[in-house]
Amino acid sequence: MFRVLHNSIRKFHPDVPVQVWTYGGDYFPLPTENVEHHPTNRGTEWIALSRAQVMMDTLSRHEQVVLMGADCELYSPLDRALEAARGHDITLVPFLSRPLVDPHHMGVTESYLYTCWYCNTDFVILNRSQTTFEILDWLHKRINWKCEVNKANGYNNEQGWLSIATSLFPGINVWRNMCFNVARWNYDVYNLRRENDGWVTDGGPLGMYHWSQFNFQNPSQLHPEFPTMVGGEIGGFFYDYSERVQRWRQT
Amino acid sequence: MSEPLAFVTMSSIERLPGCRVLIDSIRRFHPQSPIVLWKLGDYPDPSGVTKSFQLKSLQEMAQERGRIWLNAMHSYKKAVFLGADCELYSPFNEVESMLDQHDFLIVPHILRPFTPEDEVRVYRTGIGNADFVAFRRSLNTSNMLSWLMLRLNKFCLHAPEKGFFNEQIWCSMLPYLFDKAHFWRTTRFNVGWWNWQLYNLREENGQWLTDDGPLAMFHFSGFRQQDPAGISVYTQERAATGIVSLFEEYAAKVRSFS
Repeated sequence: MFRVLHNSIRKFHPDVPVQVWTYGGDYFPLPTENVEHHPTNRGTEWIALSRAQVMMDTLSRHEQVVLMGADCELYSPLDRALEAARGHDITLVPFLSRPLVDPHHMGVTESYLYTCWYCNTDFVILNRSQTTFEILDWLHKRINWKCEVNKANGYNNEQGWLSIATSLFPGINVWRNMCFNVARWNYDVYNLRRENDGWVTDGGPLGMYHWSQFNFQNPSQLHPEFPTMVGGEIGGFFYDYSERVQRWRQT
Repeated sequence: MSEPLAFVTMSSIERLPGCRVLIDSIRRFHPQSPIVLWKLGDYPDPSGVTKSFQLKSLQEMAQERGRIWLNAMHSYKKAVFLGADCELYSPFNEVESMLDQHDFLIVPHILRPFTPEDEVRVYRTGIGNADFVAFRRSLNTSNMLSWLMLRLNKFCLHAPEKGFFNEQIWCSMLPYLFDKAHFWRTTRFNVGWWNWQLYNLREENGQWLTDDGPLAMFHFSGFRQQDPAGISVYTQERAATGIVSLFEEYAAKVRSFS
């Protein structure tokens, strides 16, 4: 999945430095040109635990950082996102920027997404400033204090803390948009569709799709926990991603 | 001359003395403003009320927020909703000017880091507090309040573990889901037991101040008349020496209307 992401970054931003933080110890061949690799032997829990540290380390070496999960893919340049992040310390995207058409969407309401904590941490834009480091330091302390998934008691790893931070720090920009961090939980609300050989939403050309919890066994199934199957052009969109990932697996 | 800001509140008969303190404070700073009261229980309109409506049950006080706000929006260009346990300490002119730019305003519970436990506790009840919102008449406001009404009809539940906290989480989601709905970062409005420590609330020369200037509204949520320094049933904290008079004076005013 990282290879697909990397490929899409290179397509639109051929010269930007890319840093990849890998975990689990079972290292796979990575592209080397302008890619900095930070391996660790830690398990998956490391992703949440290290989030603040990774952001601080990276930001100490770059003026601006775009953090993306490995399961993301760019469909157009990041320019619109970087423009939206201008003048802010940290920019986050909410799970939803318009109401659900059907409150039973995948068996959840908007309020369920609130319990997942309202801003997704797999797409974060950071601008280097003293305040950004102060926010990340706060985040680091909170993650060290408690980093667990316990929605009944109000905890959801680092995502919970970063969502709380949106009201505590004025430098955090919650960027409501329908083109970046489009995913299974919002693509239909944003009316993702094919137009003129490209993918667009009601907000304009698709910028980044987040293939969170993508089901490679059955790409048409929207989510492993829900029976919803997706057909038509969106089904094809899902299938194509599965094919791209598969191609990289075979190389 | 522009239409004055309208005030909307709701009160049961038990909370009427506190509601009268609120109405009295509105009249002090906004003598021309309409005041709309939604009443739970059969009692005569208190002095100063422009118009009143009847609520049928306690549940409606939460569930009917969308409908009540829509009703106010259709009647007035700009309106502010306040819980009956609030009191004004200075004019609401800033609310009016904020409503020139935004359709809907809600104030986050806390605007600065606190203890981790408090931060989580506050988020679980909704980023914003639903006992102080302001809105102006527009198609967009109508759409968002209609959405709120639909959601509250079905999902006005008290189940924090499932993401429900009566009407409050739904109200907190409006700025995420709709244009021109705004989390207003102010330390002057909707100061309460959950945030006064963070905003440097203090009395100077007979005036209550916060970091942003004169206190505009204090929310006496969970207030106990018999123990004013206890601040609220929702906290173990007691009022510091410098602010205890705020609570004692409020208790005296509530007593005077009892």
